[in-house]
Amino acid sequence: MQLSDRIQSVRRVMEREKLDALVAAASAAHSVGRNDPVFHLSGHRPLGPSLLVLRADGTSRLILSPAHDAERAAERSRATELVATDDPVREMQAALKDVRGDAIGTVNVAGMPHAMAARIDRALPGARAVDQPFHAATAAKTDEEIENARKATWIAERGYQRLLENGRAGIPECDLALDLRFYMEGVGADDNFLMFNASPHNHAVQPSSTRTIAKGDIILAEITPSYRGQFTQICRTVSVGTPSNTLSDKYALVVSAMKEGIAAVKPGAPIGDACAGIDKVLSAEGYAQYCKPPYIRRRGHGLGFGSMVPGDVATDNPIVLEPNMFFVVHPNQYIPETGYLLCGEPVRVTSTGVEVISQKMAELGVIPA
Amino acid sequence: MHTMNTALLVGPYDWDEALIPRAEFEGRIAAATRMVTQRGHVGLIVHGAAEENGALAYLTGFTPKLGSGFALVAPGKPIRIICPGSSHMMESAKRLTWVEDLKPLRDIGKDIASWVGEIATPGNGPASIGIWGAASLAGGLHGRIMGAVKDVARVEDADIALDSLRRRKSPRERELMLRAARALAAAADALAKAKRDGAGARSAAIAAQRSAYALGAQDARVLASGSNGGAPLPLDGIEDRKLDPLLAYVTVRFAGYWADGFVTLGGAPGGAMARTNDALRAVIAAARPGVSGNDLAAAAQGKLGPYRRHKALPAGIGSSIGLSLKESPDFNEDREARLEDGGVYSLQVGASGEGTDNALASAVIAIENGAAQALWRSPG
Repeated sequence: MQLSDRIQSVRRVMEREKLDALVAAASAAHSVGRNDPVFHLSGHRPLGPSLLVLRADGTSRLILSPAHDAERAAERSRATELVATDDPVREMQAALKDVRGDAIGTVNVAGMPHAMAARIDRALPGARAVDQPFHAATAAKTDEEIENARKATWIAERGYQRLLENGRAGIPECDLALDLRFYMEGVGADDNFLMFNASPHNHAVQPSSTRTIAKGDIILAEITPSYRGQFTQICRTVSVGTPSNTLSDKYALVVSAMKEGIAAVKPGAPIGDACAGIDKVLSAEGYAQYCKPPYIRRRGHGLGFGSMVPGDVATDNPIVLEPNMFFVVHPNQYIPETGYLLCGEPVRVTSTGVEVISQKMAELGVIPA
Repeated sequence: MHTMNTALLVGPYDWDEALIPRAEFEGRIAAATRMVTQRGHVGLIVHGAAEENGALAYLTGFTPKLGSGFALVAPGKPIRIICPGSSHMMESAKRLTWVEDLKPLRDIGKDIASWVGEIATPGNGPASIGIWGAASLAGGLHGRIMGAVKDVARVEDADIALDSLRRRKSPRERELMLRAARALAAAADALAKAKRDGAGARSAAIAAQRSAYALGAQDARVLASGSNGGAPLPLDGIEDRKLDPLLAYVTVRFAGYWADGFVTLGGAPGGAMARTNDALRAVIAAARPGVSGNDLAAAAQGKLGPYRRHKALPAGIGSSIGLSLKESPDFNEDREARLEDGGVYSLQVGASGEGTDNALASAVIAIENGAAQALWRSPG
């Protein structure tokens, strides 16, 4: 699939919704958990708040800020036209002066800083949000995004290897996290949602603190680099010092649950089947009560920047899987005997089943105490 | 200047009482609640997001790492922080602040409406509430808060009033900003050394960031040219281009406080670089209490001609800097605003000539006892 196919999908949504134009908005407050429809439609990851106007004829105008970011956008953007400005809303109004408000759809205006969101709303009286059909129609990743996801996963696996080589007791969590982050930047990552923490008994994966890693700790790492704006994620657990038999056994259980969940991924299946597969294995071993909140809310999630669809790997997510959807399946389970344990792999839905993108699936890591 | 926001802050953000004692925060809270009361508010909502959290950090030290966080402040009541993350993640969140009452963000509208119910006097009609730091609040969240409290409170933007509390830095704040400036200097030196050693822009940027973190920085970001003499921009992809001249914008945060600066490396001697350095010297020489942004811009312009102003810079000359990269006053928006004793400012100049003949330079200056002291200035 190419970006042009995605644009075609959006045009079909516009036709159904009787729209002559669509305005996609991005705040540039980048996050692994937010959609960026400007990046999704143009390939440009904005530096400042930016808009993209898509016409019913398929032509698009990227209106980016700040104005001096034009050089970078010119290299990256696939939009038909590019306008670099310090006032994107004014340029948007100019671009849409011939379009009736009720023939304009918007995506992600609610994600913009509130003053700018209010300006957009005032500038487009009668326009309506079409976030849901937009994202539903553009869930599949393009060939280029899948290749970027492979490269990002390669980077993540190199990052994990770096952790095994350089990690040891006596280093503050955030120092080790920073070393991993820079190492991954050095091999091509352009951002990283790196959750990384340690404790003898973890209750959650969390952002790094200044706590010093100690013998007997269990390190949790959600290694989440992006490459050319496409995130991936691998989830790993590392024992600081020789792991107990209990930890080794429980980790093997969580990995087997993950494999059961991944096996349920196929086109036409609800994404919740992956979650149910994981729950089934863990429940059979007596952990049913830990397969629900507050211990677990989801068993994975979509991976942006562009689109988070298919969303959460959860039994209450009704979305049906399609080829080239890309997401992470991670049991990330609390086990009372060991604490929280992380394992997770990025997967692509194929035409017949599932492809695990990582080269080597999770095993319990060990670093010196 | 914009910097590229990152998906997750990973530096050492835990509250360090040795750097900012609780008493310093309590003094800030007292000043803020006095101002809130004078304005007729019964409480104050303070917002901060991962990408901009100066107001929230000022009162609580708390930097949200995952999204938007809120402090709820009412005279005579303990402060409450509502922050993103599950209940099990409050363990790491509590390390970020001296505030003891932290709750996970679930439904911010309901949480704030419930808090208004706790602090408002029954029968007095809608309570007057101030909100500080809302500029970076997303429209959807803002709408949910306003919708939830519309029957019980009037919410007024308090940025202009409360931002004034942050204009004059305390001696402790100036010391922390000096440490941020030292980390910035280390980053700029590392960038220059990496370039001299033959590194590309990407490798040099990573070396600069590592140097800042080695001095305890919480955050360090580098934008750099994507072409010879190009404006500083985010470094996408794996390309590690060797560029000359290389223009970079480096930002460093230490204990909450930012220092930022431009570095121009290489290029032909004279030309834009010489003009820019002359302009920066003139700006620093002119800086003293009472001097306006217009005066500073004129001092720079007098040295830049016939070069054009660099396109990466807005029309003004910079802004105050502190817990936010850009604080009030912003001379780009209010050119009549004036330097004040006790203020710390980032002042920026730049020139564009023909082809790659471009340069940017800046200084972080503290105004103290009627004179300007450069905490950091671009090499050259």
